Amino acid sequence: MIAMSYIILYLLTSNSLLSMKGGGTLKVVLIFGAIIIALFSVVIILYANSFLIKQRKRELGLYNILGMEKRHIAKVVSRELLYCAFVSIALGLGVGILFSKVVLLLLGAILDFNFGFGFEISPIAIIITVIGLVLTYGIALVWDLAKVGVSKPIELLRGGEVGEREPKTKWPIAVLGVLTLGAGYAMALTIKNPSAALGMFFIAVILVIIGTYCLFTAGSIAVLKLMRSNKRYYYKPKHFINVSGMLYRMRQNAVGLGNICILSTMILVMISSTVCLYYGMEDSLRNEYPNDVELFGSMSTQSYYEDVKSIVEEAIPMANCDISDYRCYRRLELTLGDDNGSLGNITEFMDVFGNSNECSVFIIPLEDYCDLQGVETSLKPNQVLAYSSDGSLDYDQVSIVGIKYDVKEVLTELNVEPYYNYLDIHAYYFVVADMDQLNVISDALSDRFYEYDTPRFSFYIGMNTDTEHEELLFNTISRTVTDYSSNSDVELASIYYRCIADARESYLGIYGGLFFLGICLGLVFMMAAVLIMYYKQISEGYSDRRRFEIMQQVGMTNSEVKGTIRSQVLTVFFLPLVAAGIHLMFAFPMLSRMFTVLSITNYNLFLVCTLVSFGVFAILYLIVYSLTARTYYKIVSSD
Amino acid sequence: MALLEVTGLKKTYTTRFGGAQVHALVNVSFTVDTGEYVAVMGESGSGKTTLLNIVASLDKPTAGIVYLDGLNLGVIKDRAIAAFRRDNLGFVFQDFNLLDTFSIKDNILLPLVLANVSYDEMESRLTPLAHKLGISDILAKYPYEVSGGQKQRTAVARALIAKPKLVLADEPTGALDSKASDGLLKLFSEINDDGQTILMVTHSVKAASHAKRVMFIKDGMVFHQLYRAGKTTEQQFSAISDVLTAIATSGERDA
Repeated sequence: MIAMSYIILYLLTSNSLLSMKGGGTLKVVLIFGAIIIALFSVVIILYANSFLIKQRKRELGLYNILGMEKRHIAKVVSRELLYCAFVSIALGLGVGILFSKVVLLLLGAILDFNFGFGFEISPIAIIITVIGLVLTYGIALVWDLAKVGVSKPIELLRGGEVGEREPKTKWPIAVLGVLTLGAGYAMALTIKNPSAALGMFFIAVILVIIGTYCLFTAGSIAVLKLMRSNKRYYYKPKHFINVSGMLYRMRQNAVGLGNICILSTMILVMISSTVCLYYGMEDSLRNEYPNDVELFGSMSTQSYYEDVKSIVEEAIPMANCDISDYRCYRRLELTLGDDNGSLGNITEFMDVFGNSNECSVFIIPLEDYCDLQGVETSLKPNQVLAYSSDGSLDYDQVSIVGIKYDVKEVLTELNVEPYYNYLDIHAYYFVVADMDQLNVISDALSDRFYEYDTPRFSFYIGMNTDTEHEELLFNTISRTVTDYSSNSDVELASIYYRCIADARESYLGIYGGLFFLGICLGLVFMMAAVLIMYYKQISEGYSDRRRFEIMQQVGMTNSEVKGTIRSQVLTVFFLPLVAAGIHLMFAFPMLSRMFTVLSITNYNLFLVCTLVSFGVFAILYLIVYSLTARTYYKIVSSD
Repeated sequence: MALLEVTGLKKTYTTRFGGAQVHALVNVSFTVDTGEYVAVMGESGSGKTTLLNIVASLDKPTAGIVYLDGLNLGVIKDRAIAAFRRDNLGFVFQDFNLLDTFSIKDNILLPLVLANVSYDEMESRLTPLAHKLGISDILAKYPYEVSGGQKQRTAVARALIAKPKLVLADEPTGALDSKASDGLLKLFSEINDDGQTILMVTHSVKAASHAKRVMFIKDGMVFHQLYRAGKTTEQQFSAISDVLTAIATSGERDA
């Protein structure tokens, strides 16, 4: 509980600090995170409270019987809770203030930003946290008092020993669970279209959640009952005690285990994807910005291109930095339908379902091709050189909007900027003899398809440099180009330039913030899962103690008892983990497809992120398991 | 031949915070022959439950030896003791000690399952036993669904199913109403007539009066023994009462 409160606190503190220093997107992300954590810690505090009060029912009942009035008991309970709240708030605030700087520096490291070494305490954050916690404890108090108020002493005394009913097999629910889970998995596996994946993901998630709960509640019991009905299997020492023990446990814990499973899956998905986003940021940037500094211009006149080109080439040395991957070429960019080498208007090629084999087509004049590649070659007017980035083009002849060309050569390499499209659209490049051919194609297009505006030729200038010089280079170029534009008749709007550095900052704000938040939330959720787990096992330990005593009396050896305990605790613990792992496995393809929308195509990176997060999670889980198992065994074996 | 032989049994507890030593058993020696039905009586704190626990190998004596069928319980290794208990002893407890996660049938079969007996064998032993104890029709039910008397009969069935040499009963009628008690005691007598040796700890005069021999324990020692030897249950009842009165008024007890 204390730990929870300081986490909210430090987020809020760093939040308020950030608002001072500015950082728009990050602030929104953090506020969102603070709200989630606050809500969640309320739930956790209430859960822990109800668990504790349940454990103490007997004690309270005894007080009542010994002559304490309910009034007094209420007083005792509220005073205890008051102390508890006071201590946890004080401790939480203390730890939170201490750690706020550490966390802020961590955030700074993630965001590549230096926050300096000053130490700040945010009074607003403290006030908000205290108010929130006081309210939470208030609710807990009301809850406890209500519990005490309505209870009868005898019931309080009997506490947890209400008769255990054998769980009924609910086949329809079990079947429903299998169906929904299967449907969710099938969706995750079959959806190929990333934008569809985004929408369907939530449906799939809901299906899987329903399926998980159904299977945990009804499915587990159905399976256990089947195991029990197999007499030869059931009546063996190990199976006998385990199956019946599990049956009993599942009845009490199925929902809890379902919760933990979903929670674990959420943690894993969240952590792995935020980590992946953060580390995949550069990839994502690269996909969106193939070159560090880029200029796009529409070519109103031939001379305009020549002028801009020479200006840029003159400006580059002024920035005084190393340039690589310099490319400069003119092109005609079209989006066409592809029908086995016959490229034309998309609508012409649509099938009955409205699908067409869409492709992006770039027509480049030979002159610029030679510049790009540094080669000398020649083409007849009816010849083209063809290239596609994924090597999917191998026709001898192509028809571009009705004009037939012979493919002289299919190029294996073309020095254009990498083409990226998350929709899996092919990009075809055709090198034609000269600018006249570009005009021919352009005219043909506007003649045949009235809906096309006369396509304007554009040009692209792009180059890379080292990270520190990006902005300098960009500023130098943009200044000279602006100067030129203002002195010429050409309107400035027809040229557009951008620099990766600008994007990097805002990306870092979002992805870095998400990364930070993902880890924070992951930790909080993990703590919650672990707490639930721990409390569950401990409370079960108390009720199991008697059972194991009896079993030892009728002739079960100590080591057998230990073995059964181990295997039961193990199952309860690792069932959710295994299920979460399976969920994650199925979610993986869908998630990686969704990432392509965010221009992250590095499949391996995501795989590594996922595996590492799962590994770390499993290790933490294992530590908690061993702690719990030990405590559990101590409870059970103590006389 | 003596099935159970207890010689010079002594058990001393040290209270948790050091200091005072509690002598639960001072010097107890007795024998139980095969087919006997012995009741151990004594007031609370007289050491009778300690005695039973030691005989049941649930507890170890400070001094003295317990022989069961000629075997010294003290030399059985810890690992083997559970198996030994399972094969040689049956237990009936005051509060039944049934497992609420098992059906009545599974509760009864528990010792056999632990002993790795085949299922067919289990079935063949269970059917006549359940019939004899009158619990055939509740086998599929769960402990919380049946009455106290039925629970105790289930516990008896569980004690008997492994065909133990000795059945140990700790206040078997303690949690039963008088009708159920009568039923159970009648059952015990029947079982004993079939040759089953029973050692029962009780402070109910009525329960003890059904036994063939009553042994009185006081302050950790065997104080007196009373053989039924042809007396009716009523006669034995009054004899036991007399002894108890004598114990209570003897004045030797520390206040």
